[in-house]
Amino acid sequence: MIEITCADVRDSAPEFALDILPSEERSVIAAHMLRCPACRLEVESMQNVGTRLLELVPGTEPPLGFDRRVMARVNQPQNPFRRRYRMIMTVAAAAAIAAGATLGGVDAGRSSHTNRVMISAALMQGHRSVGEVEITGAGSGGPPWVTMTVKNTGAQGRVTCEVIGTDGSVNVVGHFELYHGGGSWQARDTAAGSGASGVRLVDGQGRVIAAASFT
Amino acid sequence: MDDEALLAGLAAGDGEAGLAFVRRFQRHVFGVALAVVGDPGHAEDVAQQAFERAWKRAHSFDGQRGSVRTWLTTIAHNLAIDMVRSRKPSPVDPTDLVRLLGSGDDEPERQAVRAAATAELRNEIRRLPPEQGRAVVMAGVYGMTAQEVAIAEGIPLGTAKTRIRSAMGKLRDALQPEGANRD
Repeated sequence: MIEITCADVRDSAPEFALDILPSEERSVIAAHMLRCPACRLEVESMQNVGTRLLELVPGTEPPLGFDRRVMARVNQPQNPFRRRYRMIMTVAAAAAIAAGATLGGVDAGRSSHTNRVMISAALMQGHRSVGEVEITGAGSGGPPWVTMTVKNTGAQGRVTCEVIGTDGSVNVVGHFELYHGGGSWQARDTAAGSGASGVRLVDGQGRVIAAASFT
Repeated sequence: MDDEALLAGLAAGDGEAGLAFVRRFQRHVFGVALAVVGDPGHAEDVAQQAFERAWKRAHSFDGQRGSVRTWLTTIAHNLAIDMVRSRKPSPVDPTDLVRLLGSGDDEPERQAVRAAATAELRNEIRRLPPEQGRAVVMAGVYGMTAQEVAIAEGIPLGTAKTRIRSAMGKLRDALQPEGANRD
């Protein structure tokens, strides 16, 4: 794993905070920040500046009817979470069959309404969302399902999904492939115990590509 | 209703609260989207996606980490940057930068506190060397990488990085509340 110093992180903190670093550099800094509170604070202070910069942008009235079109979009009859869940399951099942990956029993025929979304969060690369992760309890019992969708991560190839327990434990849920920086998959968290505090995606060099926190 | 209550109402499917939420922030969200993507049609797509994402992620909003407005703005900005990065890059119009660094008197402010904070930021940016002001706005608002800033300004990459870093550091130090504990 590539290591960087706190001085390196301070130099790159503004670019990281503005999300304008190349993905490889971003991943290395994100991994460093996970274990360095001082650097995390440094980056957060820069992110505050970055956020305030957006206040410079003048407001502009959107086209007529914009508000009602938004409400129509969020009030679609079918729950978009449920629709995307079925799509993810179908994609994951097809990918598993094609790649011969062991996903711990993807059931493409599962009825979505028997699954209860226990927790969900955005997967973040620094300040930028690159996807979402849900942990779902199956109505029929058994280990919970971890469902993940990512895009534009800047990473390629084989990655590892890890669930971080509330007791600090790290459980490898599975190994998956990213194509053009993105992908969707699902697997059972067979070691689920006291609960999950977060999920992270790690590349072949052990660098954290993205992470989600449930706390 | 305050912003967080409206967000909670949007998430809970309260139509009135949801509509009020959109109307309260649509001008700013659409403005950010339009500033970055440049095209009104694409800007509306981005702005709609931003509100939809806010609805889906309302449960993850943490009031201790910032305001609803800031959170929503970040969502919209990230979506706009994603869209721009997926397109062929086009140079930033210098007149847009001048407008952003200018007085901003064309936007009626809803709250005096926010107006004062924005005025403070504009003043601090005007105090920067012009090249640093341009660099930080290119990077911070338009999402341009240091390499893209270097090409746009006709300077080496290292110079662009230095300008961005210097500007951000100065703004951070100038905008920090008095007596703030950074530990």
